Amino acid sequence: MMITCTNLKKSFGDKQVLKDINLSVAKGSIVGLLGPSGAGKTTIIKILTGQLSYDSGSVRVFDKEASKLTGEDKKRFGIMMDRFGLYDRLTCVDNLKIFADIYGIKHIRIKETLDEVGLKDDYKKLAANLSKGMRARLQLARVFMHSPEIIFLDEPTAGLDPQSMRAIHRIILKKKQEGCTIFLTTHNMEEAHKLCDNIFLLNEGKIVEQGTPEDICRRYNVNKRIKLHLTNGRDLELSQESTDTAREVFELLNKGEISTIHSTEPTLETVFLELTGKALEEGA
Amino acid sequence: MIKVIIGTMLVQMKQSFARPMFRFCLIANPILNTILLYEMYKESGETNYMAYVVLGAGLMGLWSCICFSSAGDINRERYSGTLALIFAAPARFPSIILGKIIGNTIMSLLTMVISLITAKALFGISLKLESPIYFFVALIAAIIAFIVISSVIACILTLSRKTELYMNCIEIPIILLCGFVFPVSVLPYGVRVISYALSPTYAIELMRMAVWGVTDKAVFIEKLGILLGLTVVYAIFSVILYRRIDKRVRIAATLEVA
Repeated sequence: MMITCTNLKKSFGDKQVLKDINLSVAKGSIVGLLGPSGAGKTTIIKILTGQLSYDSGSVRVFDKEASKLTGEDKKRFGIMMDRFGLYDRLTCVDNLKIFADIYGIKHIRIKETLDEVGLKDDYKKLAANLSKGMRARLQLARVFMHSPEIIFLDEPTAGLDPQSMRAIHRIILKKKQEGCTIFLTTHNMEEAHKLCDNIFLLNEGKIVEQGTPEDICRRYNVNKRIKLHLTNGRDLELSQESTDTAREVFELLNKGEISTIHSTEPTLETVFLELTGKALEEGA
Repeated sequence: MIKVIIGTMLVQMKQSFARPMFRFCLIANPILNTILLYEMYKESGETNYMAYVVLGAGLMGLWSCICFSSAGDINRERYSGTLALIFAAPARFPSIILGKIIGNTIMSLLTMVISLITAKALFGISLKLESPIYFFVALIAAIIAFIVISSVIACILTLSRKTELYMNCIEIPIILLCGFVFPVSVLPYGVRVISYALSPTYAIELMRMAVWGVTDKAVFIEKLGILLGLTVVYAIFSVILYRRIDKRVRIAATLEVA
């Protein structure tokens, strides 16, 4: 396991923000932490990356206590926090140069990385003059310029348009293919469904559910029904557990009357709503 | 570590120069201060006033640059979200901050040159260095002292989100307490105690001594010794402070805006 948290607890003053967090992240996987704003997602990333201490429990990254990570260990991961983390008055190249020196990377890697994220023609543009999507890509370039083994992404697509979002997703999936382990936080359930191998639903500092997106949705599929849209425009809902359903569907199929068939398992959003009584995007 | 410091220093110079406020402190501030101080001193009856005018204006500009760059940078980094990133980076946080401070301080030395050029261009007067070697020694000691004092300030400001307020509060008092534009001896005794605990006071006195000509080597060396001693004390203080702050920041998460 690349990351393991066991009974992790953290408080700010009297307020307990993380309550017995248990999670693990396998090598080469994308793991998502889903929850509304204030659920504790960023705090977990900060603890995992050694920015914050924790009150009790165990947090291991690369099989080492997170609080004892050395500079060499930190070179093995990259972080993108929810704020952009860019120097607005510097060019794209200079933004990466400062971190190249900090991470001990040769400057030749800077342009290679900018090419990789599609900022080939924008080397000399000031970060302040980039669009939101380009800024996100520049930040991603900074994150993986040093070829990290784990990438921590805190809300990587928050506030981006669908096209930029897709571009970021492509980069993330490419990094996964290259063997990177990715730990991301999001309150976007579509993003989690599309990218994550495993997800943890977090609410008020507690993990309320975990598993693959499909498993979680199946687990809460209490209705067990299928929805048919017929060629005559009519909608039909049938129980999956009834013995007649298969026969009925088969007959309609034979007659060529079925336009679409959908199962009715809940989305992650509905599961979250059912578990916590609030929407994922609430307050986000 | 050296590579990190140099790399950070060079990028910081670019970054600072790109900021209008820094350019104002670096260029406009010494020009305006030179004019103002010259007009104040020319009828004062003081014979050696050019040291107060040129050095004073230059050092005021330098100090403003430090206050609004080295100190203010912490806040800017906090708001842009980069403070947390450099804190979590593999290089040590103090090395990165030190690189930034050195970059700003070295660039801020330009205020002295601008002040000198302004005095020459507008009033046809120049600063005659009676003891150039002593001046060079005093200047190096002053640079080190300013870098160390900036490190202490930067350390303290890492802890708080009210950085802007504090940096505004320290600019003018230090100029007055350390006697940037007048001798500290004119200050009330109680205030002078604070002045003599601040390293810039000695840095400025040494530079003025070198401009006027060092007649008593022993006094110069004694003041240089005090300056270096205070600088070492500040450096130790900044290391202790950093360790405590590092612990605090990891508990209370003050590296970001919210």
